[in-house]
Amino acid sequence: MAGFELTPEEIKLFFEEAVEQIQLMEESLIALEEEPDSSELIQSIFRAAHTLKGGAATAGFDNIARLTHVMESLLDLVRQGEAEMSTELADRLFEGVDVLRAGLVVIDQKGTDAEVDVTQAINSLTELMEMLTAGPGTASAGASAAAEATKAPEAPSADGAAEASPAMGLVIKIAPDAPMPAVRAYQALLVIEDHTPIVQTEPERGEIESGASDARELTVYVASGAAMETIVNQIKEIPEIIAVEPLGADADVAPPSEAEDKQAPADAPTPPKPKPAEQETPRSTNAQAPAGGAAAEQRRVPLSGPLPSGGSLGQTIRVDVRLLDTLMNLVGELVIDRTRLAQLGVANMSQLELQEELIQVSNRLSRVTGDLQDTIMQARMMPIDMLFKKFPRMIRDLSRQLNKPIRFEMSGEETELDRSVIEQIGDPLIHLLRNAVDHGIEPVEERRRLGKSEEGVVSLSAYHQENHIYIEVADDGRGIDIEKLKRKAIERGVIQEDEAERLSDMEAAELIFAPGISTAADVSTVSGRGVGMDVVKRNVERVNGSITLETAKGRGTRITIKLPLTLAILQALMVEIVGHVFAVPLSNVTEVIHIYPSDVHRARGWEMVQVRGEMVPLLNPAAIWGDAWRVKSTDNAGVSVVVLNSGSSPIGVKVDRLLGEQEIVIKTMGPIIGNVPGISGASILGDGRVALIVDPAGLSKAVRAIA
Amino acid sequence: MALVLVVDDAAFMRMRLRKVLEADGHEVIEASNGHEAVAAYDEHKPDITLMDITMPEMDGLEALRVIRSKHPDAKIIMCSALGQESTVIEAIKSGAKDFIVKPFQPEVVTGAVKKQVG
Repeated sequence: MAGFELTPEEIKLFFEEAVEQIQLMEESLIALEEEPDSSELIQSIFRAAHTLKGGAATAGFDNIARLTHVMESLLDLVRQGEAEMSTELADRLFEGVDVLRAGLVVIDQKGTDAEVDVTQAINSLTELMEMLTAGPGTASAGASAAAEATKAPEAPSADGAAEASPAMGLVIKIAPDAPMPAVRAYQALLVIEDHTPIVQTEPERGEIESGASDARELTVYVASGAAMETIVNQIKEIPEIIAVEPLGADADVAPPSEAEDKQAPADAPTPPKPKPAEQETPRSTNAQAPAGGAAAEQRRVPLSGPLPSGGSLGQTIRVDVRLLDTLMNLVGELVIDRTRLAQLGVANMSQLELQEELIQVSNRLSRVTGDLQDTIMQARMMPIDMLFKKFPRMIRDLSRQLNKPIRFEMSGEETELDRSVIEQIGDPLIHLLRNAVDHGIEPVEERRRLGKSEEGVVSLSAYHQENHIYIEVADDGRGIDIEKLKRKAIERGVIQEDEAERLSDMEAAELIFAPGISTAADVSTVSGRGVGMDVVKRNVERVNGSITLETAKGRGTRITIKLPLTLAILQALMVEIVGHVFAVPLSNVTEVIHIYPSDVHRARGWEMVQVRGEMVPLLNPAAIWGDAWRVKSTDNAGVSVVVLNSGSSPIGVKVDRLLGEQEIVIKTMGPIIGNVPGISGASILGDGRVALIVDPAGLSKAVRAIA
Repeated sequence: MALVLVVDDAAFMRMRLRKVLEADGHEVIEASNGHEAVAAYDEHKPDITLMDITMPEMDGLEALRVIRSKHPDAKIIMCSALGQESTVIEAIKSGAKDFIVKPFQPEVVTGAVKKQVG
């Protein structure tokens, strides 16, 4: 086995895939609760469990393999239509998913899964499986009982054997360590059938074909012994068949009887083959199909060493190869500059020449390192989905625990944020979501009484606007009781009574972020233990974010976290206005149209154009930035208009030329340039030019100010 | 020695099999589902195909049937797991030459390939 131990890279790959499979299982399980009949989803969970099982068994993580095997068997029942998806079933599968995830952490730390306790999860799943299969007439999945349900296809009776006399027979022995003896037996039957009809088999053909047979000895009675030698030779070709013994055409081959059963082994003793236990290499001894799908003694592959230090779980990211290539190129350029610098030291040059050369090198260096910085930052960007995807499960569990039906809506999962920001806002979001379910959404009876739909709605969305990422957590629950909040704030000495009276509702609602305030009358197990909204606020502020809250009594609460975008990447439509490149955030672009002067209408001094039945105001950049920025259109050529949606109403911006789509790294403008209306930042393009980033919200604000 | 097409949706399994097969002197190409397997077979005509059963897009059994219908002499070994006995029998009926069972012993993999290459 030397040379085939798992390498650290292989373990890493196993991990990455295992994490993906577990995530896939969980996501599909959640989706399955919405559409319990989706065979596609069941198939996808089944497949994930199966793939994980194969990988874990190969890597030698037996506990993980055992658990996934049981999960797979249970899912198989559902897949075959022998069991129906239920909350109970989902709960136990979720439990399994949790154990698997915890198991990966243990493996990561210890390098083995020996300490992963899967017993309880396996028992719980097995128990359910037994309950589901206990019903009369139901066949158990994948277990040997299946054979009974399978019709033995026209197995000839003893009469048939007598008629076909003189019968010939064969005893075929399958290796004791062969993992699927039934398949080998079936292969033997196929060979025999090529030459002569089969009269009878022991075990029965139906049992073999269903795959349920564990027998390692197969006796076959055939109609004619003519091609016996060929048959024997061909059967010996089948892997894991260790002996083929013809039964003579004489007295031995009486129609099958009890005597026969006893005689056969004596006639053809098992060749001296070491038993698995005695072999040097531990081998798979899965002779018996695991009853109930549980225990399976499996070999373990020794790990070549401890796992890579630092742990690979949660500490690795996948990076686009192209990004790595860019990094490599940039590093290559750095090396060139280093050589150039080294040469300068020994070069024979005048002071002036030397100075010039140094300036050049330093310019190049600053460009290259700048690019390097941008590329590395890009590598750190991750879709917020990394964080969001664990929430549906959390909400589901809370919903079950608190007995409040919840519809959870998410949007903007693809929004990209710096990895460190994502890590920082995880806990605050968990807290806010828990609050929404626990304190926001009313109990069902209360909602019913209030005439609200029984199902509470909690939504989580992320979007990108005006140089910031916004994350909103909203619920349609009872809202915050402002008066109660004020009283508490006074009680705790946060504000004075006269101050409280002057506060607007909006300002008063913000009191909830003050230390030591919680509106929940009693501290529940779900939220509100220790950490309050003040901690949430502090965490958000730590990443230079801010948090605001809107609430309406009886209608719900919306909390908005605003995060800086200094590191963020923007997908932009690049356009040219009077010879300069501008980047328009693609998320704000509804469409691009081309218009001619005849398309333009006038209303209240504004040019308007009809877009899909709606009148959209046309903006010439000159209106905001001055006459130097006038986009000219001619009767013949017309002009391109980028239609932006920002906030409530769309506007169309005239541009000179469309350049295409590009991903850009946003840079803030800095204090020197100051605030330019309709511009949120800048980006440096590959050729060194600066592109200004258009801020659609700012533009429409500027338009409103003029109009 | 032989050109082996390894079909499995898990990159981890493909990596393991590649290592074992290459150490035994074979050349390995990969596919990650049934569709890819059919395309790879058409293009490269491998001597042997190791075919996983449970895969997205197109599963191993279907890929086996498609390949065998186009190339009746294709030598395909199914990669199965315990509990898939009946599927393996289906595969044998559809022309699979042999099967191996996960977790793999390197020598079982190389032995099965050797047996088919002759």
